[in-house]
Amino acid sequence: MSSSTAVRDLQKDLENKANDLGKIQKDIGKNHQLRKKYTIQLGENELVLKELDLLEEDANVYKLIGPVLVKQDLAEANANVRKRIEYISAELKRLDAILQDMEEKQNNKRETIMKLQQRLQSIQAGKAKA
Amino acid sequence: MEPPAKGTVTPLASLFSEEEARKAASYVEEKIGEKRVEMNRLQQFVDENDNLINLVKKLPDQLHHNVMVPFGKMAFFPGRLIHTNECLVLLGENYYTDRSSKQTVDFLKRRDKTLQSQIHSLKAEIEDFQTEASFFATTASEAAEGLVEIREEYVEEEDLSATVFQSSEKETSNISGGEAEEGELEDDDFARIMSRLNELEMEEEQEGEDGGDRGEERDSPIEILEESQHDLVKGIRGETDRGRIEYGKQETTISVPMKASRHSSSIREPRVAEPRVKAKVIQVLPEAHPHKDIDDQLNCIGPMAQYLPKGDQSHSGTAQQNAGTWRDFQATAGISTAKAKTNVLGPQKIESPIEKPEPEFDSTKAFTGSIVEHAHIQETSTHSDTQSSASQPSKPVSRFKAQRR
Amino acid sequence: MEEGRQKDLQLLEEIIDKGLKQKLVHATASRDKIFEEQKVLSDLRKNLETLEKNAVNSLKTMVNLGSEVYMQAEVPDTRHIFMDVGLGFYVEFTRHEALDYIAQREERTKKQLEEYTGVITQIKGRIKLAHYQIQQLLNLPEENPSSSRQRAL
Repeated sequence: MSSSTAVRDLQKDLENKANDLGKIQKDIGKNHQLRKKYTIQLGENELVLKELDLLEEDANVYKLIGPVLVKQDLAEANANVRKRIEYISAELKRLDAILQDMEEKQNNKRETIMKLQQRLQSIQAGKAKA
Repeated sequence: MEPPAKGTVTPLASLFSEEEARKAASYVEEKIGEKRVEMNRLQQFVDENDNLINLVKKLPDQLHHNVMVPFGKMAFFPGRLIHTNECLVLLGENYYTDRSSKQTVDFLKRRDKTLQSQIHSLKAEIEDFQTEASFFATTASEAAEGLVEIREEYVEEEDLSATVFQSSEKETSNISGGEAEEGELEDDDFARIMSRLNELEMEEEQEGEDGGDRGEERDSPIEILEESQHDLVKGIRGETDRGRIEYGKQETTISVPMKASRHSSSIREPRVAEPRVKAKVIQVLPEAHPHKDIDDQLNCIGPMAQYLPKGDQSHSGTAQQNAGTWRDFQATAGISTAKAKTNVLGPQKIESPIEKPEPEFDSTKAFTGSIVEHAHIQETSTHSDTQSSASQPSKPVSRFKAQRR
Repeated sequence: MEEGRQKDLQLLEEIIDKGLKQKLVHATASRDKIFEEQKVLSDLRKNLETLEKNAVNSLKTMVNLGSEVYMQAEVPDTRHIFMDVGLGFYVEFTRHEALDYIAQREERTKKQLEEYTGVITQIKGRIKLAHYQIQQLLNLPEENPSSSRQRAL
């Protein structure tokens, strides 16, 4: 009787752990998507910066805000793009750190799940013999 | 002459089910399709860009052009283009700027370059996938045919491969005796150490040359070890004379102490089985690149960069550039040997978790010959130990000689 | 009996997967196209009304040359406009004529939209019905009346 409750507990535990693992994996997927988005943006911003650097001092620069083109100072635009690049890079780094953390967690969860499964199997095997 | 009990016979199908291989193949095909669509899209951009360059070039020829000015999607006003030398250009990220016609053309040409390089890397990716797909397909059909893998432990008085190798070994073993710490190293030990030294050498050079890049791209030193190890295995397996001779040259500069090699092995051993998942991509790359990365370290970075996640790839300049060189090379070297190659790759990948470590870490099993019985690949059957067995009967001599003189 | 039931099931599944679902996708796509047209028309109408209200008779604008490169263009006379009437034909209208024409087009797209919405609801209803019948077949196989009803459909 006690062994069957132990089995039930183990199974419950296993289920919870599996759910946790699924959650982590989902988060990792989200992280990947976000990272892809930022990487693309970073590439675009870098291209813009390159072009802005090629412009002469008195060139007209506009930013499209909603439906309106707003004239901007070249130096200001340059600074804005740089800031944006900085921000995206920082964001990417942050995402990397989170990803690493999550992957670690994922591996830990996997291990615990494996162990739980083994224990469950051994208990069931023992029961079958008895 | 060998007692039959010594070897093991494993049907390929038990290692790698046919169905799974097929699934993998179709998955890869799907990926290729996606990439093709993406490439068509890019190609469209390029065409549009080309047209635009011509147009912008011609417009300033006249002061104004009569055109129908679009007003919404369904209506037009008769009107004319004015200020034909002035364009408003989108730089990206919602930034616009006024440019002259000439400046616009320059800008568009730069944009064209970016697009071209994107197409280039996409092409390389597609070819990657194609190799992978054909490998899966071959594996599937091999598994279906009931291909078996036979492995035997190495014993001194072994058959064909070992005898040839021994004769070449004897020349070098007495010279090497002094240098080898244990003095009475077995021949196979010696070869093992040599290959380890090669690895370390490669690592050193790679670290020296692209340390900066790698700092970001590689996560841990262990991974670097693994990568270079794969490269090395590839290099060793390289089938052209050129590859091998170049190899010999490199060995002459070896100065890494034996202890280091021991040490590195102890780092690697516990992880031996693990990196194989990663190895998948690497293995799928045909052995075209080893020749390159041996005589040109820069190119070595190229194929390695390909192992990176695709997202990174498109943004690293070297990756694109080298993907190109690798691809070009493959175009020349790959096609003729493609068939044989996939056959080599097939069984080799499957065995790798168990077999590859053996020649490197386990001295008692150093020369596990693996013979795959398959009608048209018998000649390449000992593929995974090329550095030590039959497919290399004459080369080792020159190789080992080269490193001493 | 058992065999007939299997046949019914297969038939129903085929109807859902091959017939109804494809029709649904098709109808939805057509409806989206009409939505788009409706938006273009209403935008155009609003713009023309603005021109009319402000008595704008000439204007300067930017023309997209492709790939987000724009060039200035001027329209000397906005009292005449060319409109796409379909099949590659463009008709010259005055602003008033154009507004009348747009109103008619809008009326028609509205009708078309209603039509398509009806078709889509119908298809969805049929799919639901087929699903319901499959359920009936699986749950109450021994009931003869239900199975004969299915055959009738």
